[in-house]
Amino acid sequence: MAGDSMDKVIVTECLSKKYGNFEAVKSISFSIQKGTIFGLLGPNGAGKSTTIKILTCQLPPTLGTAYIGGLNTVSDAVEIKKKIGVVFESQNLYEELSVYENLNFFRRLYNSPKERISEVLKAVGMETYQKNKVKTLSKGMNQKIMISRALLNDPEVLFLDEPGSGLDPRSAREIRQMILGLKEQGKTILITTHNMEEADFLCDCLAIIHKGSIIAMDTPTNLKKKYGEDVLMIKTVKGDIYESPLNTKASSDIFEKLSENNQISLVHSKEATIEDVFIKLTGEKLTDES
Amino acid sequence: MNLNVVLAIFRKDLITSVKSKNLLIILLTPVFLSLLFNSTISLTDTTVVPVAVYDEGSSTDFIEYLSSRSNYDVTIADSAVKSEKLLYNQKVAAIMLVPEGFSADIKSGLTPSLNIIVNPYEAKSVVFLQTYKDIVMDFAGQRYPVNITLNMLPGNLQSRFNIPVWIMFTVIFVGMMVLPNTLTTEKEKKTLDAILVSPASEKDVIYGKSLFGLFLTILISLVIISINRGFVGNFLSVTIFIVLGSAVFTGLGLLIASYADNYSSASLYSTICMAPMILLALLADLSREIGYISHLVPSTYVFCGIKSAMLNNSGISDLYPEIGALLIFNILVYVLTFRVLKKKRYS
Repeated sequence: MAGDSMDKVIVTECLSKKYGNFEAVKSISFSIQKGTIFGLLGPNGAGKSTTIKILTCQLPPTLGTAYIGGLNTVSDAVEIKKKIGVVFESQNLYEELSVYENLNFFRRLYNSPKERISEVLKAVGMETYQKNKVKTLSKGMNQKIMISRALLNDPEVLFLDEPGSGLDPRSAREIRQMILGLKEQGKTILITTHNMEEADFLCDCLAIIHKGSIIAMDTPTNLKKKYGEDVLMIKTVKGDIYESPLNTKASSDIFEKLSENNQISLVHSKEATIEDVFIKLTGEKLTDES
Repeated sequence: MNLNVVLAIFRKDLITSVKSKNLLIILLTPVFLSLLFNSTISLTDTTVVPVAVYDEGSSTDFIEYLSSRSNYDVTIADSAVKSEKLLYNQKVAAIMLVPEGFSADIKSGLTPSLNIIVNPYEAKSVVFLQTYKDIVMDFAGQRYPVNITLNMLPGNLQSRFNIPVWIMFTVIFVGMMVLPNTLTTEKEKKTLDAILVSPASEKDVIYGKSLFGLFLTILISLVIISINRGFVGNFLSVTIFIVLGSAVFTGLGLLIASYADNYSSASLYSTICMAPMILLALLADLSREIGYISHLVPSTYVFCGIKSAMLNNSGISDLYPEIGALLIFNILVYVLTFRVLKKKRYS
C-alpha cells in the first residue's frame, strides 16, 4: 500500500467547488499513477477546467483536498507550481513577442537556464521558429509553443486542458504523438478533453465527468466493455441496414434470416466507442468540435 | 516577493510596450501636451493679472496708467509691507514698489528705479513677466528710462510653473491610463493565468508592473524636464514624490484593472477617476471646499510636494506631511489591489 501511495502523483479527495449557489465540481475523488495519462472527459461546463484550476493552484477548492506529489494544492502552492507544467485551452501567448521572447520570459519566472529554451523547442520540433512572432504562426504551431512553455521547468506533472481543441487533424495527430512521447519520458499527464477519440487514444485511465461529478472511471477498454456494446451491422442488397448487439440471439436470427434469402450485401462488426459509453451513462451526446 | 520574477515581468512589459506602437503613442501624450502648452501660454493675452502697487509718493499718473491696462487688476497698497503681504498671501501675482518722485524723474529725462517682486507660485505671473516691461516703457515714452529691479528665481520662470503640473500629469497618466492596459490585456488574453501557474504570485505581478510604471514615469518626467530647460529645485525631494506618486497611481490603475472585467471598462473607470484627480490638485486653492476635498486625493500631495520641491527648493523635512499622506495612500491602494485581484480570480 505504501508503495502504491508513493506512485500516486495526483490525489484528490472529495473535491468540491462552488461559485455562489452553483456547484461546478461535486465531491470528486481520483488518483493518478506516476507516468500515466489520466483523462477527464466531459462536455463544456462539466467541471473539467475547474478541476484543473484547483489542481494547478489557480483556485482553492470549496471542500475537499488535492495533492500533487504529496503536496497540498492550497498550503504548498508555491512548491507545486515549480513541479508542474500547464497547457491552457486558450492560446495564451504574447502575440507581439517572438517565440524566443515568450519562452525567455517564462524561463525567467522558473529561473531555468537559457539553454532550456532550445531544448524544449527541439522537443516540439519548433527550433527553427525562435525568431518568428507568435502571431505569425499557425494554431498548431502555437499549441506546440505552449507545450514547450509548459516543459521549461522540466515538470513532473503536466496538465493539458483540451490539447487538441481547434486543431487540424494533422496538428492534432502530432500533438497526440508528442503527449505520448512525454509519457514515455516518465511525465504524469492529466488531460481534459471532450474529444472521445483523443481520450480513447491517449488515456491510460479515463474519468467521465458530467455536471460536476465523476460518473465512471476506468481504462478506456474497460469502460467500453462495461458500458458499451459491440454491434453487428448488416447491409442488404436493397440498401437497408440492420444493427444488433454482437453475439446475441437477435443478431444470429437476423443474420440467418437474411442469408437464407441471399439478401446480404455487407456484414461488419462495430466496436463500442467512448461516445457510446458516454451516451449510455448520461443519455446525452458529447459534442465534438475538433 | 521574488525579485527575479518581478524583474522578468518588468522586462517583458518593456519589450511589449516598445513593440506596440499604440502604447508608444499613448506614452508620448504628456510630452506632446507639454510642448503644446508651452507654445500656447504666451497667447493668453486676455488673462488679467492681479498686481499690487505701493507708491512712495507723487506717481499717481503712473498708477492710473497701470490701472487703465486691461491686463492688470491693480490694488493700491498703503505700504511696502502691506503690498508684500498681498504677494505672500497669493492675492496678487506681482508687486511694484514705486519710489518717490518716479513720475517726476521720468518727466525730467532721468532714469528712476522701479522695484518689482514676482510670486513664482502664481501661474499668472507668466503673463505679467511677458508684459510688464513694455507697459512701463510705454508709460515712460523713452527707450531705457527706468531701471527695473526684478526679483525672481533664476532660470526660466515660465517653464518652472509648468514642470510640476506636467510631472503630476505624467504620474497620473502613466499610472491610471497606461498601466491598467497592461494588466487587462493579460487578463483578457489569459497570459496572466500562464504567469500565475508559474512560481510568480499576484504580488509579483503587481510589483513588476508597478516597477514598469515607475520606469515610464521617470523616463517621461526626464523628457519633460529637459524640454522645459532643465531641472531646478531639490532633486531628492522631487525624486521621492515622483516615486511615491508613481507607486500610488500605478497601484490605483492596477486596482481598476484588477476590478474591471475587460479593457473597455478599465479605460472608462480610469478616465472617470483621472479627471478629478488632476483638477482637484490644480484647483485646490480655488475655494475652501475644494481645498478640503482635494486632501482626499493623492494627486494633491504629489502636486504640492513636487511644486514645493521644485519652486521653493523644499527639502524632505519640509514635506513630511505630504510624504506621510502618500505612504498611507500607497499602503491602502496596494492592500486593496492584491485583495481585489485575488478575489476576482477566485470568483
